[in-house]
Amino acid sequence: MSSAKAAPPLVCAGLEVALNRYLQIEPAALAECAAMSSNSIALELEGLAWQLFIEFDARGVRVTNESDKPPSVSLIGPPPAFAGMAAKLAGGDTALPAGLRVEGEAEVLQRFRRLLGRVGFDFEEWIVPLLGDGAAHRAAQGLKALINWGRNSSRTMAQNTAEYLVEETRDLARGIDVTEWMDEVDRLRERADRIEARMSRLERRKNIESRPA
Amino acid sequence: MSHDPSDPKPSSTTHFGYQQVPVADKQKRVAEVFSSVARRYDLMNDLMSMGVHRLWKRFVIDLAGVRAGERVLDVAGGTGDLTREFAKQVGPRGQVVLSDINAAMLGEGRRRLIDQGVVGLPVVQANAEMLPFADRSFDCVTIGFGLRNVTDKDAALRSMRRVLKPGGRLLVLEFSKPLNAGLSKLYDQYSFKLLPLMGRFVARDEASYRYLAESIRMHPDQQTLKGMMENAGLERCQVYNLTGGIVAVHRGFRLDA
Repeated sequence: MSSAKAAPPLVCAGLEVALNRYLQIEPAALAECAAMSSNSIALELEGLAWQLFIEFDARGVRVTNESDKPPSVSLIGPPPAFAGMAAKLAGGDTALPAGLRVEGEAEVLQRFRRLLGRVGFDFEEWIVPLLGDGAAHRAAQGLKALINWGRNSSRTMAQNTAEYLVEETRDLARGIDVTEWMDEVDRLRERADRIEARMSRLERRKNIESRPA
Repeated sequence: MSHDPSDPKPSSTTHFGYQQVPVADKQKRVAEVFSSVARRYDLMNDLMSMGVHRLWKRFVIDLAGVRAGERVLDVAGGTGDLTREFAKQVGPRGQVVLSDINAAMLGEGRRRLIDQGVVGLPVVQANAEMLPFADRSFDCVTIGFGLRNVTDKDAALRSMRRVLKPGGRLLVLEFSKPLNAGLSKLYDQYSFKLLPLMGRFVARDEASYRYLAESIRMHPDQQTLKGMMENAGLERCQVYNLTGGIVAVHRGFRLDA
């Protein structure tokens, strides 16, 4: 039996508001929520010992800390694993991260994850009512350029750091050296296997020859 | 049927602040209070709550999650703070109805909404206990700082549930009971010493603000109100304590078809 206690209501409210705002971006997502109205998902955060329930209706989701019916599926794990799942979903990746345990109808959880992963976030569409078409387009282009610059910069920095550690300080081995070394290890293992087989054969022959006729 | 347990004689008298008054008189007395404070109601709210009432209302608006095209009823909507935000959210395809039992408050609310460019929404003078709307006609009903002034709270909760569509939600924003004893003492000092003083100097009406403080103490606590909502037929009732329980938001759903 679970030892989890009801999560604070304000945590449930925060999650509900965030999920519903996200789902509202994609009208088809609400139709999917309506179709899932007979299902519910329990989230159990180990460590905090919090339990909360996600129920579905045509408006999106309802997050409560108690439920009078058993959930269709429970997702159990530590808070960082849930945070990892949220980050993956935001990037459109619906794979379940390590550290999370599923109990019950996994298909319900899979449907919900697919639903969240399918919701696309169009920044430009979101800010048009605030800034107008032209300014929103320029702001969106600027944001995209900024994100690309950040992505390229971090990739370049990672490459430069790796090169420095490999070529300059020699703290890390080069990929080709590691491959050669592993090939050598494989060859050594094969030779050791052959010697072992030969030794066994010689011992068997010796035993046969030493037996009295 | 359940009764507000803070009301010792529900059949003949009811509380008006700390006084017991005939049931028939409470509505008239509450009307006098709000007619007196209507013009300076928002200024006093800002002073009394140090502006925090805006955050409490923001929380209700977020939790209500009103969508474009929905119908919303703001009961005891007073000066229309919630109505204004809901009107933005429902858009031209939806509708928000501002309702209050008090004509002075309603007039003030309508004037302020027009000043802020919110025009064309229905304004209805109505008693929360007997809402003049069809069954199952609203997606969301809210009552902000109004329920404690209603004479028969059970009847009001039943009436608000009646007008909700299946799947619709009722949100009650109301003063409640602080969760911490220290905070409770501090809050008592503030309510019974500072609040009437502010009422005297800002709204020039000390008695009305003393009533506000007393009526808050006589209002059912979080769990009692939750039970009253469940008795009225609302489901998935949840309490959200804000500012240490000084204010609580109760939300319940009408789930049956």
